[in-house]
Amino acid sequence: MSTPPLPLPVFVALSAALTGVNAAQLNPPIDPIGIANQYLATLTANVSAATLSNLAQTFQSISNPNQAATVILADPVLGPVARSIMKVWLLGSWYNPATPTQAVNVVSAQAYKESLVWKIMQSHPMGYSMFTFGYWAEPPPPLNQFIQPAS
Amino acid sequence: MPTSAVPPASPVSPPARVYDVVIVGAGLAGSIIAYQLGLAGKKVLIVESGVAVPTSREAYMERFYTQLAKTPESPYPNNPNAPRATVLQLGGDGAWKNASQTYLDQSDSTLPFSSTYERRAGGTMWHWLGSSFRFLPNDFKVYSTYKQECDWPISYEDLGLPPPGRSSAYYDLAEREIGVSANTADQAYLGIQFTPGYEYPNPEIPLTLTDQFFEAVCNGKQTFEDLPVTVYPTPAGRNSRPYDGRRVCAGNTNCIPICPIQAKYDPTVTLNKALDTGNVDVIYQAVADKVLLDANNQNVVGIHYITYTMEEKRSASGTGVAVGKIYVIAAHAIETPKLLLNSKEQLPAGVANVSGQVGRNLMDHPLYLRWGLTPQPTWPYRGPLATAGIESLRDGSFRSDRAAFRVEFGNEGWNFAAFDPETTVLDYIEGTNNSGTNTGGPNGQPQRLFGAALISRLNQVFTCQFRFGFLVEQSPEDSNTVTLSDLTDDLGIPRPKINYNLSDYTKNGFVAAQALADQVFAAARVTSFSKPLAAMQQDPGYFQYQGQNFEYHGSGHIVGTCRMGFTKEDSVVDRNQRSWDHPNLYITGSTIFPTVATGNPSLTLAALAFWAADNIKQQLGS
Repeated sequence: MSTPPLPLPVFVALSAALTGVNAAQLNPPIDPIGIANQYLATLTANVSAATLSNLAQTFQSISNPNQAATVILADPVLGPVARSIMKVWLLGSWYNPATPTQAVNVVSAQAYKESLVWKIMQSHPMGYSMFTFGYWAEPPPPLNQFIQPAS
Repeated sequence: MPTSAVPPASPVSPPARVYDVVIVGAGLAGSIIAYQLGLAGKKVLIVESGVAVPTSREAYMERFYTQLAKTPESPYPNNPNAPRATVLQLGGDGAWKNASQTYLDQSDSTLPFSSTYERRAGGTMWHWLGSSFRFLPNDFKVYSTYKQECDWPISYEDLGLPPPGRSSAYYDLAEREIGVSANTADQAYLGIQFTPGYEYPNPEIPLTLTDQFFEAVCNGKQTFEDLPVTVYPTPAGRNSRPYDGRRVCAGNTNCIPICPIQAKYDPTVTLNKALDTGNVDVIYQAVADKVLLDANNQNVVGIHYITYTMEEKRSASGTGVAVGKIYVIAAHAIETPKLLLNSKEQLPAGVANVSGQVGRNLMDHPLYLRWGLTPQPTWPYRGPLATAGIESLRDGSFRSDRAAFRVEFGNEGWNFAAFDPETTVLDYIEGTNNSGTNTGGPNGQPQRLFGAALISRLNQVFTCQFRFGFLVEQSPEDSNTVTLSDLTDDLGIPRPKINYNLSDYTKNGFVAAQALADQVFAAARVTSFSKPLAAMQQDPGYFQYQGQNFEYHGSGHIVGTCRMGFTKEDSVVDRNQRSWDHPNLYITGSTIFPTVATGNPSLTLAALAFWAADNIKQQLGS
């Protein structure tokens, strides 16, 4: 079996650099949902293997993830792909790199519920509250209870 | 009874028996009337155009989660056999006028009618907000008090205080059925009275942090046109404690389009209770298309309907006639006049239309949105969608000159106002500025962010978002109409044609709303944001007035079109909700409201349905 052009661990490390969210939160060691796999599958279905391979190599060639993300985002081919990766993590929706402001679809119901933007706003997905009656009358827990920053 | 999630292979045959009462529509009004009559031992048949209530709402939730645009209709499948308008059909750049891509034919309308409804058991209140306001005493007599609009043939006291010999008012019954959470001390304003000793069935819902922020700014500190600007908790059709077998609200911030846990009341609750009486039958997937009259055009003798077999496919399968002693049309304010006008075999103007008023005075609360950022986080996107608002300006002498409004505080950030969270997230990833907030780059240019800086900035913007909605009382206008289009639906039934506009009286309400928003925003030191003018001008609800640019949305409050009134010349039904023309025909729901008033309509609609049930019982008994 050949190596995938963008292996999961590389995809997760790159995602952490782009979104600022810790790799362990994006892809937990014990993961009943497997959302990282869903997003990687979406990416693989929509972006050429050559581009994904280029993305992986570029990311791995620069040891500082922050610097690597900066280089990738500035690249005319890799930048739009990286921004699609950011959007899918934050919003749960797939945006084609060629049409960057037009959502194609919600990846899945799980993707909607797992999308990071709700955590960034210290809340819950609209229509999927894990809080109890009256929570809204008090401030939420601090942001670091929702988002573990990338290391 | 067919109550499973899977529609029956073919709808049940028309039951052979004659019913006491035939009701068209299994929404709020139809379900309440069926339940009350069923309790009284009357035999009832409901003819419902849509599918039955699913055994679980999970399929609707899955559909909602995976829709890109979370519109009010997003959880509910399209049904070509019983179609309805959707928000997405209201395209900008005039596309809303293109009747080939919409259900409502608005090709000749001046402005778009933007509110939508559902055709399924439970009705449009699958996606109601839950706000359960009583109308004000003056809402029933705007003409006699202010020489504007018209009076209702009933008063606040008729609904708000017990009828002679009774212990409960119709509003009390409606609040108990819905399970309203509120407290009477906080709701007794602008003349509202309660039955002595009455208390709402459930305790008040706590205010959100956004509500608390504006309450501190307004209450006791702000006046507008010499009236106090006061924030009140919103009476809510959602559970603050377990009630009627349903759960407590978990603050899903999703009342519209669907409460995932049914902590918010919807009419499927009452419909189930109606079925449990053993006296109520429903024929689902049966689209009423004609009201049949006797040879003298006096009594109704049947409801003709067309059946179909599959919800999501064109699948007409037959016809039938439902027969009873008394008939009730409760098909909401667009399908009801459509049905009456389409029943023109014997009366060319349609059934119940000697007055010529069927289909006239279509109204809504055209909704003016304003939004901004609070100086410190108020953490929106939490709690029910709306928990408080400014109610003190619903009445006053200004009503001689301009429309009144209430102000709803949204708890969903800029979700409704600016299509967030998508818009703001895209702005900071793509370096655009559609939200108006992305001006932190050199010379105010938009930034492109990633990593920790992206999270930090998004957290800052999202936790400070708020939105006001001004529900402006639209005046009744003869020329705002529902008529029959030349175009037909898949069953061959004429589609509704809409003519709609806003009067200057109504638009004057927008001008005042804008002034109030500016005043409160300044006092609260919040930053106001708005849509760029070029974008606003492409939107369907854009209009200019007195040199200013405005945009309105629909509130989903579809009202008017079969008004109740004082004489058979001025109205479709009398104060008992009975047709002036046909003694065994009742018409109910918000279609009979003579004015849209200053509160969300559902509670008053429910109270009227309880009253109609009493009137029908009385007529059957005699």
